[in-house]
Amino acid sequence: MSIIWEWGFDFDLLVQNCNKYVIEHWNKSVKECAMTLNGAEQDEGINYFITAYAKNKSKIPEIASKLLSTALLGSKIRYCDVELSKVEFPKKIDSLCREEELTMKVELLLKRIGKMLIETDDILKDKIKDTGKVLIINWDLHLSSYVESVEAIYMVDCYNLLIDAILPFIKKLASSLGNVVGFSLYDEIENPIAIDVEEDERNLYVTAIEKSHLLK
Amino acid sequence: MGQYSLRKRYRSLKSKRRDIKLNKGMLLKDIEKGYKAFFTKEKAGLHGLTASDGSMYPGPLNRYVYRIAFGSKSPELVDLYSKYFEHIYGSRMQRDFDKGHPRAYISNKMAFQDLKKYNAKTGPDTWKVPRAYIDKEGAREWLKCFFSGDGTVKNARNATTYDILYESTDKEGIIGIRSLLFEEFEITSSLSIRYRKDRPGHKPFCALRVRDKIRFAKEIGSYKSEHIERLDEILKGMKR
Repeated sequence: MSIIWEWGFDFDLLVQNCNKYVIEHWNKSVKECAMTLNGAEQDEGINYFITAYAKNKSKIPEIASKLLSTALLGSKIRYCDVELSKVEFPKKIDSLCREEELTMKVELLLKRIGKMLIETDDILKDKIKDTGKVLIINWDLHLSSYVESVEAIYMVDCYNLLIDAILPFIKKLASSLGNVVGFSLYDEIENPIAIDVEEDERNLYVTAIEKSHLLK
Repeated sequence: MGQYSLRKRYRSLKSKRRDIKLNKGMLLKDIEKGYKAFFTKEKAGLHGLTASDGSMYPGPLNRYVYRIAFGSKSPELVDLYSKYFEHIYGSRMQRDFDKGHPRAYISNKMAFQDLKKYNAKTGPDTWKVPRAYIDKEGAREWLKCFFSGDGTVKNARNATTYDILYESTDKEGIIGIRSLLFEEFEITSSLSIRYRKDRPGHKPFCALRVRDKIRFAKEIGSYKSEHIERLDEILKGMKR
């Protein structure tokens, strides 16, 4: 994986550099190319990755231009990287669902995280028991959208606490790339831990993250 | 200047106990053990803004071009960067738009080398918090400027709360910010790092979540208009 463009360079260089990199490194053994743009929509604090999976070398400039104009819908593009592979990249197609199912899936995920937290955190467990307050979980959701178009397959990944913030944004990005096939919510939770607790009269708001993501 | 006159000048300066303004945005400050060079507010701000939305690279076509640029969707930050740059180095930056993003840029070897000397961003993840050159006021300005570019004040799941975050792909830089927030302002925070499991080897991004939100809003703040509105709501108690 090589970073071929970073924030600060002219935007036009992104397309040029993608093309240059591919011309130089694409050989007969390459099966697929993944180009990823990482950016942020800073008003709502959404981090996103837009990845294009291409099999046709000649389409790279067109795909890179499309990626760029889509990523510019956010406020900042941090970097662009390119990876060439001898096998196809995994694309999480099995777990795709419709937009209408997402709210329910998010609720179930947060409920599961809440349950896992109560099981492992005695202080939290006692606090809920003593006060009778309702546990509300803040968790950085990872939502993906799978998009098909003539020239490539695109995957848009967005991160934010609120599905109401992510969904309109991911739809805006995905629909500008092609036909939106479906969405997938990342729900593999291993070991959540609470990093912050706030409360009001009725609720206990717990911000949690994966323990492996916490840096001491 | 001879040793005697230097000593005399030092004594006379010490007796007056005042800061001496140097060139290139530096300030000689009277600390207990003598004088030490610090950044002025403007230089601390310029360094912080460069670390967030700025860039310092050799020109795209000519490596002898010392290009310093700042681009942001927020025009107020581009104005601030140009203002600080001109104040420190005396040169006016050029302005344009790149795909709708306002941008200020200049080619200036002296400024490039000066900023590089203090670990300003000259490439991917190369910046460091200039801890040795910032006092409390400098730290406040550095943190405020970096936050204006790479910070976010976002809604949390309960509608009454905002989350305040510093975000970057530079882990060491973010660790430096956490220390600075705590050492100078006693603002606590939690640091998390996110790797993409589906794309191992992908650059992770780090998020520093501020816990003492009211203290942050009072002590640090932001120059970005969207942040200012939300931090005001925290200060007025409309949101937590």
